[in-house]
Amino acid sequence: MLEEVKCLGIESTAHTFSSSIVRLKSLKEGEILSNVRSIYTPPKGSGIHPTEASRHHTKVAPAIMHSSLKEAKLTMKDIDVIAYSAGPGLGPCLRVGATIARALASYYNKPIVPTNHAIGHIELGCFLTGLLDPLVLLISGGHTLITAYAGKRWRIFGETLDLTIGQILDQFGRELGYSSPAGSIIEELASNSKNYILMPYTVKGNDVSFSGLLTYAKKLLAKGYKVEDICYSLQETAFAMLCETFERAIAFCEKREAMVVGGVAANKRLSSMVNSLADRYKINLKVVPMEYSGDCGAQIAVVGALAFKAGYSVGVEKSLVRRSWRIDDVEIFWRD
Amino acid sequence: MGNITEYILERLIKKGAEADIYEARWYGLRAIAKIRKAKEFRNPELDYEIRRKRTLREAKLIALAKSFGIPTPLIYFVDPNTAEIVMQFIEGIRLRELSLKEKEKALPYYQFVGKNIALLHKNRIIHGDLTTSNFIISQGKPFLIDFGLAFLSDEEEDKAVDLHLIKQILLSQHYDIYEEAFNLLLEGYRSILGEIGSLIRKIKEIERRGRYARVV
Repeated sequence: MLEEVKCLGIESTAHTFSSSIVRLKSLKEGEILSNVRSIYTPPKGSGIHPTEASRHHTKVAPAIMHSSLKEAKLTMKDIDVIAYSAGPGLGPCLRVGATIARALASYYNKPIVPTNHAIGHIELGCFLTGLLDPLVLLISGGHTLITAYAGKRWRIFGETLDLTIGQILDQFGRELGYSSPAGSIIEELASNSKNYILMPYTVKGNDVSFSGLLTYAKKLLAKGYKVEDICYSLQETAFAMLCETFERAIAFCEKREAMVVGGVAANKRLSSMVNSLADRYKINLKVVPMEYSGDCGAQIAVVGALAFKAGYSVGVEKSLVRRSWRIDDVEIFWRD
Repeated sequence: MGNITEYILERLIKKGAEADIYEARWYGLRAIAKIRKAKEFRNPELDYEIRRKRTLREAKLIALAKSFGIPTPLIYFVDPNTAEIVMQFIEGIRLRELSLKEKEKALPYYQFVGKNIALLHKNRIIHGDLTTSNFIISQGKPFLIDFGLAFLSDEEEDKAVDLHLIKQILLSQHYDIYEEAFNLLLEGYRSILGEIGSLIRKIKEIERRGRYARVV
């Protein structure tokens, strides 16, 4: 087996089309050689349309693939393995990445690793932060869950029972006339208010439920409340729910390290809240660097390299997509 | 605790996520004082509301559960404004530790646990936080604690979420005994409430819902 693996990773789960090349010896040793992306933006006030997004991906793919090789100063011949996001995600979008991976793999005769997108967020986070066994809070448009590794799986300690945190931010942003992703706009609006309005707060054990909160925020908007106050209260309430479940998981599973990953990890209010939690429990907490918090090829390339190093890859005939692919269904070959 | 003189805090047992737990004396009785401390990362208004509401709920529903024959601690004293509860001290080992250390000993209790959950549900009580940390094995019985997230409901959805929570903990923390433990739990549950096919389907539906958002 190769000591060092060069992996090309293709991400195309939802909004983002991205390609990245990493050089990896282990989770502790390696380098991201390139990470190029293009993000599809839906028209103002509307959400992502899967077919439109996949059209965007098809259009930008050749240029993105080219620049990721060029930036890494490599050619396809140098690549040991090709990884793509096989799920979970939007069908039409996933198929773009999978098709490119298959085409390249057959033409250049390379092995393929179908990769779970959520595991990608987590393992890339571990690689970047240097935390090897953290409790993880994964917060994005596609996911809201708390997970920790044990016995060959990332096991789920808590999750959302309905909408994800990214969804409520995006859907409320859409009500205000912005296009998704709208998290950073909501954050900016929220920072202009300190006027808290009591909103539905729903924690069930280690799980959260956001649907009542979103409905309530929309109702306040219709009644003419100040937009800044609603954004502030929406953030305060939703983040307090996430922090509470995260805190419970910290207390319950007794890990010494914790990590926040996913697109919503870029929110400064949220990271100040989780940092305050970490101080209270004296655990080593890291938030994934903002450049890598959103969807990107590097998350796919890192997992591809780890899996390939551990002896896993498939041929073209098995390179399928899985729209709903639970993270605790994925066997983690590369961890003890 | 300057304003309350009826009980004496003796030692801090645990700084928990939800509250600080003290061993205390209540008119000479060995007791537990549960104090929900303010969380500085939370907006203060939201924080006060959460602590007040949960303290009240916990005291009310712990007593209500007891009236239906479910082993729970006796409540001695409640102050919602300072978010404090004083209750009976239950001497024993948590189901969590027993399940991690002595699996064979722990397993038979899961049937009892299932029975108690069914008794709660039969009487409209949803616990809201069923974990293996919240059952204390004492005098051969699993005592149920921590009713801060409990509420009253007849909805199948709420009962299903309750069972999903304990299933999730078994799968993540006690995965080596998950199958046996959860089957015993359901057996106990059925012994009180009979056939529960539609409830099991509801649990599966809930689990599918949040795993990956389909509409981004």
